Amino acid sequence: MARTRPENLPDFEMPPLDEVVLGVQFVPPPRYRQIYAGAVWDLYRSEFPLVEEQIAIAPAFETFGVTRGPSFNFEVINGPAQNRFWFLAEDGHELIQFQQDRLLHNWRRLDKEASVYPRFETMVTKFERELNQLQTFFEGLGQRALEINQCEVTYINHIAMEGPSGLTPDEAIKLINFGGKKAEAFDLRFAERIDSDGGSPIARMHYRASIGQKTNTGEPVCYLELTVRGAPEANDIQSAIEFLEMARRKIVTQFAEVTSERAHEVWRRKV
Amino acid sequence: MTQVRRYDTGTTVVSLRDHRDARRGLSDNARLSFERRDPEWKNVVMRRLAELVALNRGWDGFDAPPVEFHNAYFSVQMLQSICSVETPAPAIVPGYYGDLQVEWHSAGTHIELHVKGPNRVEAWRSTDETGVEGEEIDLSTDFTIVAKWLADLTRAFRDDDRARA
Repeated sequence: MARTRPENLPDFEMPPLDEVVLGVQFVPPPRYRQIYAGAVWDLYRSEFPLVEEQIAIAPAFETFGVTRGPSFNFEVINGPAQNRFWFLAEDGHELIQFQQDRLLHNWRRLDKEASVYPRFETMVTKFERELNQLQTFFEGLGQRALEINQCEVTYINHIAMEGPSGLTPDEAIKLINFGGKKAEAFDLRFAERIDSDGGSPIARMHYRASIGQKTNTGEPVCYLELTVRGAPEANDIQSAIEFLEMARRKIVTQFAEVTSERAHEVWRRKV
Repeated sequence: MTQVRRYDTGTTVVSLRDHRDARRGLSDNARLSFERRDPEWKNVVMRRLAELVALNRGWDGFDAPPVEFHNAYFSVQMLQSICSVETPAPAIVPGYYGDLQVEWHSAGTHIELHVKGPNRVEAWRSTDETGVEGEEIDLSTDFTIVAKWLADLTRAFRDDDRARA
């Protein structure tokens, strides 16, 4: 059955959305070796015929207890290094990222004129299919089903600062107040706990905002990045998809809450 | 006269008040600041986990695998959620299936956290109040209760140190 957008979820005709990432992290299958990455690519190659290699992403786990300071990472070099692979569509707008413990699906705007955001419902349907394909592949190697231990959704926005619809960061984002100063640079990061209806923590939303430049045009933009990350209720694909849907609702709702009425007019809010 | 302010994060800032002797040769806004103090347990834990992840298969004399990397990584995140700067470093022992156990033992209190996998922890504590049977809880990602257990244990350690001093 085709997925439909939840009613009453904030919606914009021209949102400053530049990239969306859906991702899961799973226990590395014990018999997986990097040489199998080519066979994994074959699962998706018809739609993603190009490939690049990147450094692997470190594991990420959201845990809850006392308020904590900056986190520190744990790294062990023990045995061959595993890479992260990007399987890209011809036009580069969509890509799958794969490493021994992660699968992610990105959409990127890249060229404003040519790219239309496919919408979350389309992306999550594709991602669910991709997860099932990967699970079937691992089971064929004699591995257990995917044991998913974290899920995440990220929405990255590029808010134009110049031109007729340009907005300064403090004009666009209610969290920011420069007190009348014209900021040349800033970097704001904070995290907020997301609780279940019963009051227990289920995820964390990470907010990040800063001033930067678009790589292709050099025009200044304000980045506003929202990520929801946490453990799904169970470690199967269905639970992961449910988490991603919850994460998307939270991000879209919070995006509308933390941005200004003026920005909503520029982006033509519909709902 | 110098004023020393210590923040919860362990950062110490020393500011020099408007005092002639203290300010000699220094600007009006002179301050010294020290880097955030890393918790002592951090280096102990990192070293130990690196050892356990690098164990050879059969380290137990049979066929036990090394501690799984995801389990070690999750343990670090868990410890960040429950330990303060003053928490004593735990002992960490490997399990037989790539799992591990994080433990604190004092005269009156024992805390053991069995990390069976990411998001799967069996937490157990015994105190003078609970007796040797102790209390056990299965936890996933919320370790608030264990943070309270550790705060009690850390306080007891600190009180013991002061009594001996």
